[in-house]
Amino acid sequence: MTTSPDADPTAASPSVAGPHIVRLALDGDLDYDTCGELLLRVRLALHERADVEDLRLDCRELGVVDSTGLSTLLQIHRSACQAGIGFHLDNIGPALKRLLELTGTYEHLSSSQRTAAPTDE
Amino acid sequence: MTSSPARHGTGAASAVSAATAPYPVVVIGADGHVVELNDAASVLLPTARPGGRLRSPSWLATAAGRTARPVSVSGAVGDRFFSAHPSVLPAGGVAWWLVDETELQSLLVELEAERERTQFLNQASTALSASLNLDRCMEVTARLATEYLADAALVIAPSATSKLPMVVCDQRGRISHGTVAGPPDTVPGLTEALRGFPPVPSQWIDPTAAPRWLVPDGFGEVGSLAITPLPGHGVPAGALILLRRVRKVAFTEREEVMARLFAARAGAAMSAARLYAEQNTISDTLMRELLPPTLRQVEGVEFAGGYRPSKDTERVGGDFYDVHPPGEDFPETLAVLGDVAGKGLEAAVLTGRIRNTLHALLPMADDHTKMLRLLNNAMRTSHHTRFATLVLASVRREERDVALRVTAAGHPAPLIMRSDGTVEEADTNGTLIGVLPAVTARTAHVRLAPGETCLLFTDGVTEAKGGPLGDTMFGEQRLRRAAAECVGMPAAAIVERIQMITAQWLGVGRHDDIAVMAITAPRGSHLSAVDGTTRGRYTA
Repeated sequence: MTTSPDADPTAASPSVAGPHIVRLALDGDLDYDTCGELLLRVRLALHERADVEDLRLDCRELGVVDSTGLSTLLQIHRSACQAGIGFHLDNIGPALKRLLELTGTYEHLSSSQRTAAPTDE
Repeated sequence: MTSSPARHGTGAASAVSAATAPYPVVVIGADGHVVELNDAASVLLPTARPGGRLRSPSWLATAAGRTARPVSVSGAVGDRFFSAHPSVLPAGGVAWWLVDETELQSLLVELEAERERTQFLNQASTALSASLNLDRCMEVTARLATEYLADAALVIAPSATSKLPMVVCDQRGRISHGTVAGPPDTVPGLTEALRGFPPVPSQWIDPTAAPRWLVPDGFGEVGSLAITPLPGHGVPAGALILLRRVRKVAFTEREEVMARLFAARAGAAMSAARLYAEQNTISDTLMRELLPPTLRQVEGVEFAGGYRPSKDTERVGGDFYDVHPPGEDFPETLAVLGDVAGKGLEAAVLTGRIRNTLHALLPMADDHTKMLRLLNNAMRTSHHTRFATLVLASVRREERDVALRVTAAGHPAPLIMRSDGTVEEADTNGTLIGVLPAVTARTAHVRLAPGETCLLFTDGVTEAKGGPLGDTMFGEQRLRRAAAECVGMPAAAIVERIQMITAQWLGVGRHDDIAVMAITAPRGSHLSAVDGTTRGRYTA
C-alpha cells in the first residue's frame, strides 16, 4: 500500500508501483474545494505513460468526502473505464463505505467494468 | 554666483572666446548696450546689433537691463526655448550664454501632460470600478468625459428593447437619465458604435446632422461632435458621444489615444456591470422557479417544509422539495425531497431539470423504482457525473391513517416518528440518480397513525458541523433524539424545531443547504371519533 510521503493535507501523491499500475494516496478531505486538484493529478498521472492498466486510489488517509467528492470519484471511475484502465479504491474506511453504500455506488465503484459513458442525443 | 568661462583672461580674451563658443553669446556692456555677439547669437537674435540696445526677446532684455547681480533666466525665442546664463566679465559688462532647451522643455511639458493623463485615467479606473451598477457606470463615464474630453457628453447603452438607455452630462456637469428619443440610425455612426463589431474608430460628424435630442438644453451651438464606441468584453458596451463648443475637426493624436484608453476603461466597466446585471436577472429568475413551495395540508395529510440555503451559494442551492397533489393519472400525493451534488448555478440547473422531469413522470409514481429508472435515464449525460439523491414518498390517506410508499435513492432514509416516542428509519435504500447505467431501489411501506410523522431531510442536517467545539457533525443520533422530542407535534412545528436545533448546533459555522420536510397524519379533526381501538394518544 502506498501512503502519501508528504504531509500536505489535500495532496494526492502519485507513485508508480509496478509497470502498469498507478497508485495515488488520497490525503485529507475530498470536497468542493479539493476535487479539482484530484481530477488534475489523476489526469496527469494517467497521461505520464501510455501503458497504465490499473489506477488504485488509496483511501486510508482520506477524510470527509462530500457529494462533490463522490461525484469526482464517479468521474474518475468513468474516465478510467472509458480508457480501459482498471479502477480500484483501496482501504475504504467506514465513513466512505457508509457513503458509498448509502448512495448505492459501492458495487459500481468496486467493479471496473469497461462501460461506456452515456451518449447524448 | 557668477563665474566667467574665461575668468583669468582679459576682456578681449573673453570676447574672442565668446566668438568661438558653441553657444550663442551676447555681451552686454555696463551701459546696457550690446557690446558683442557671436555668429550663433546673431542668427538667433537678428535684431541685436553691437552698440544698440537688446530689445528682443523681452525676457532677456529685462534680465540684461538689471545690472546688479544678474541671474539665469529662460524663455522663448521664436518657436524655440532658451535659457540664458550670465557671466560677469572682469572688464565690466555681462556675457549671456544662451542654451537651447527646446527639447528639454517640450519633454517637461509632455511629462506634465502625461502625468495629468495618467492621473485622469487612474481616477477614471477607480471611479468606474467602484460600482457594478450599470446606471452608475454610465453616470461616471459621462461625468469624466465632460470633465476631461468635451463640454458635454452622452452615454448610450445597447438594449434588447427598442428603448436605448441614455445618460447625459451637460455643460454645467448636471447628470440626467433618459432614453434615446429617436431611432439611433438618425445619428451617423451611432448604430455601428452600438453594435460594437466590427470596431469603428471615433467619428467626427457634422454637428448640423445631429438630431435635437442629442444636444443638452442651453448648450448653444455645437462646434464639433464625436461618437466613440465603448468596447466591452466581447460584447458592445455602448457609445460615448462628445460635444464641444469649439470647432475642432478631430482630437489631437494624444487626445485620440487618451479618449481610446478612457473608452476602453468605461466600456470594460459598463460591460462588467451589464454582465453582472444579466447574471443577477438569471439567478433571480431561476431562484423564483427553484424556490421550494409553501406547503400545506393536502388531501387530509399535513405537509411542512423548511429550507435554509448554504451561505456560500446564497439563494439558489442544490436542495429541493416538492409536493404534487393527486391528479387524473395518479391517485396519490407525491412528495419529493432531494439534494444535487455541487453548488451554485450548475447545481440549480440540474435541480430544475430533476423537478421538471419528476413532474412529468408523476403518472409513473405507482412504481417508484420504475420512476427512478426513467429519471436516471433522463438525467444521465456524458458531460459530467453530477448526481442527485432524493426520497420519493407517495402519500395516501386511509381512514384516519396515512399510508406511505417511501423510496430513498442514494439518500438518507426518512425517519418515522411514532406516537410512543420511538424514532425508526424507514426500511428503504437505492442508488443515486444521474450517473450509474442502472439504478436499483427498495421501497418501504409505512403506515402512520394520527399524530405520527415521516421526516425527510438532506445531509445538510446530519452533516451540519458545529457543537461546543464547532467541528462535530450533528449526526443521525442527534437528529433522532431531536425528532423524538417532537413526537406528536404538528408538521410545521416539527420542521421549525428541527431547523432551530440545527441552527443552534451550527452557530455561525459554514453549512451546506439544509432541507427538511415533515409528512404528518393529522389527529385534530377526528378527536371525537376515538373508539378505543386505534393507536396513539389523542391529546396534545
